[in-house]
Amino acid sequence: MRTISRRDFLRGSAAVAASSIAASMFVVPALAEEETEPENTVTGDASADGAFVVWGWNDDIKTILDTVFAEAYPDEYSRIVFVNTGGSDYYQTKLDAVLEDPSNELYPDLMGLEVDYVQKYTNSDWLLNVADIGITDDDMANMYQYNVDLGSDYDGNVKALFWQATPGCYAVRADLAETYLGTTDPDEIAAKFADLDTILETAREVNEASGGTCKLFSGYDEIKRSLMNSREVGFYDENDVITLDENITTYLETAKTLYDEELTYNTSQWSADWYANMDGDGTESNAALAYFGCPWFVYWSLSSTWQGQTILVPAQEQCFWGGTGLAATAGCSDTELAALIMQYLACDTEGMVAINAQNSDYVNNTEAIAQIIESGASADGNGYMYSADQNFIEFFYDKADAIDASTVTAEDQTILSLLDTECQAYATGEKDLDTALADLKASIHDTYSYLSVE
Amino acid sequence: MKKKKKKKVTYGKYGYLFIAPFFITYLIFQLYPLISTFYYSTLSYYKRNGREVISFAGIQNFLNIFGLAAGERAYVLQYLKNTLVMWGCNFVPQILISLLMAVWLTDTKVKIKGTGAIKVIIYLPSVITAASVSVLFKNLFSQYGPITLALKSIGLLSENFDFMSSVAGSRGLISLILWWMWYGNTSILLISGVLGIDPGLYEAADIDGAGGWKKFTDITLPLLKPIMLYTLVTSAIGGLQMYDIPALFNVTETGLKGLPNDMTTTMAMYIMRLYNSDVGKAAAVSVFLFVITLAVSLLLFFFMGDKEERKLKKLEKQRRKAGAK
Repeated sequence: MRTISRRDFLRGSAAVAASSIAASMFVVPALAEEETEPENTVTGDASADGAFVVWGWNDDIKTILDTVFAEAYPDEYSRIVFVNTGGSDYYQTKLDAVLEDPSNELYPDLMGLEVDYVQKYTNSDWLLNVADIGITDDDMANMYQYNVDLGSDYDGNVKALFWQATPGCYAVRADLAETYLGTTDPDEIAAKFADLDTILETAREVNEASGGTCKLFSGYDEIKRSLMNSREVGFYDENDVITLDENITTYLETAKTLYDEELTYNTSQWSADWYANMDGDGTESNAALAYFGCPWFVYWSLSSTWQGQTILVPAQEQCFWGGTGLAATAGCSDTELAALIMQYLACDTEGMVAINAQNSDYVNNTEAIAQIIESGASADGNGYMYSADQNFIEFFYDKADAIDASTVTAEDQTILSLLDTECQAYATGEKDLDTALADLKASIHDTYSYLSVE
Repeated sequence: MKKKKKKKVTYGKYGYLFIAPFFITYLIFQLYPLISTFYYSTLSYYKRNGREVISFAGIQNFLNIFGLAAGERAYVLQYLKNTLVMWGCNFVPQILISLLMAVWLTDTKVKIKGTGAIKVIIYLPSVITAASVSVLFKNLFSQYGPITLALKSIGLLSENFDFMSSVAGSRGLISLILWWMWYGNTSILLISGVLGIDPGLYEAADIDGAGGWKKFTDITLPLLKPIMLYTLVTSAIGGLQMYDIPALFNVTETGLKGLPNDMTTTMAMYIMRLYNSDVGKAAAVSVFLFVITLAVSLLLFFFMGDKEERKLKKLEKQRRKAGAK
């Protein structure tokens, strides 16, 4: 065997090292991205004549198209090509790239947009006004106003339409409420969630009664959405100066109280520990008595333990959580079909009743909701209800009237995520309140240089 | 005969054709982006609502990232520190354990059984994708994860300890994951290095009555130096760009900041965050990372390279100079 001489080896390794250095900033982040970035799943033939491409980060839209829309318009349905980007983390990155390239086969004609970033797209040049494709104010008359606001740009032009309404609530597990709060009456429990101070009292009550094996919430972030989606000022004003609503201070302080008094298990939302607390029995194994929720959360995210055990309680302030808007792109190949889909899935009462029957969605159409209640059609969500007196759909009917979504900005998703870091640092005693707020502003400015700190 | 000679010349030409694809892809996909990054770092280039706003900014981006401009903070230095700490805590044990593995698995006297199997087993972790490994460790070590609970029940951890809200815990786990994933790879490299050493040297040492430690320090280590240098340099480059494990391990919902309190955010995570909002600044951070990487690599070459060879070259030069005079 020929041994490599030391000098040759050095030379070789130097060459390898040098090229690695040169490649340093592009190749490796790109490789890393490749490893974590999921593949697109394309259903249908995008190269076919008259293909109509719809984008989503999961199969929610596809399911509705496959069932409700396919049944009503089978011919138009056959032209639809669906692109599932496989998760929301890389959705915007993928979408932004393809939107810059209208000649791309997979350029979307219609796409789904989540509320946390829908404003980025409504204020871009990428979307069409719904008025320009023939959707009128009359068509939108039955929508909840907050959803119309979410889909509008700064000048009030509506660009994205929502088929769901997502009013916030607390879901309370009946067996645990019986044991630790002594009641399963929705009104009595609602009184225990009347405002934040009462919620803290309730948290102490549950903790004391159970000796720590059952807590009111799994983590202190259960109160985040209700406070963040009922803010009075957005994250910046009209001069792009960063502004922090009082609710942010309230959130940090409440989180700290919950942490200091050990009133939750300090899990973070969607973590394995957070899920585990859904199924605990509250005596032998840890359990959380309540989760912050909304319609889709109740029938999609709660575990089977909650079936027939869920008591719905209004959030202390009207708020919302999530929701998906449908929007037609500037380069849409067939605006008629785009309008038809948007109209049928987000405006039409018949279409929206069908969506509810298909997947239990609490639809963004008060007339459809009234019809569903009247017909007594029981959506899947009702299977979760503990008491026959509480109807899933009826419960949410008036919970979205006072929601104000005007504070939502294009950068909300990122800023809310930056807030998590500061909230944890403050709650665990890493820094004081003023530092946490100043650090939050600094890191917003660091990420978005066009937003300034005073 | 004549024909043969002609052919020889042509072979040389084909050689260039064979290496051409590398250089062409290198120029297009590596050198060009590298140069354009330098260019972008001089621009104020951000995206807002899908529109790009671009203007010339000179060195403003650099003043901003180092906190030299009014109202700016030097996040990049904190992230560099995070990266170096996590890399160091993974690399030092990695090289030590790998050396041990390499010596044990190649020792002809100890004769460990099943060396093949051991090599495969220690290499396996690096085959798993980083995403799965991150999720696995996160669940094992979460506040109520099986390992955390087990450590608590045998009294090794205090009742309130949480890896995910402890700086040392989170950084330590990231280093542990990186170590676990890569020590097998390094071991294999070092094993091949040890096998490349002339066995006659060991035999001679045995005859002279040298012990295991003596052989290790006087034969194995010095002859392993080039491959150690290679490992160190590639690991340093990879380490400075550490991305996938920390970006998926203990982070906020959208993966932008490493928890707790920004203490596990790495340089590459920062670049990825800025890339979506502020390309100019992302480019400036990339250039800074490039300079650091280059400096670290050159320093390693200088301190670990062959000093004797350099000395000889110097003497040769001096001799030539003297001769010329």
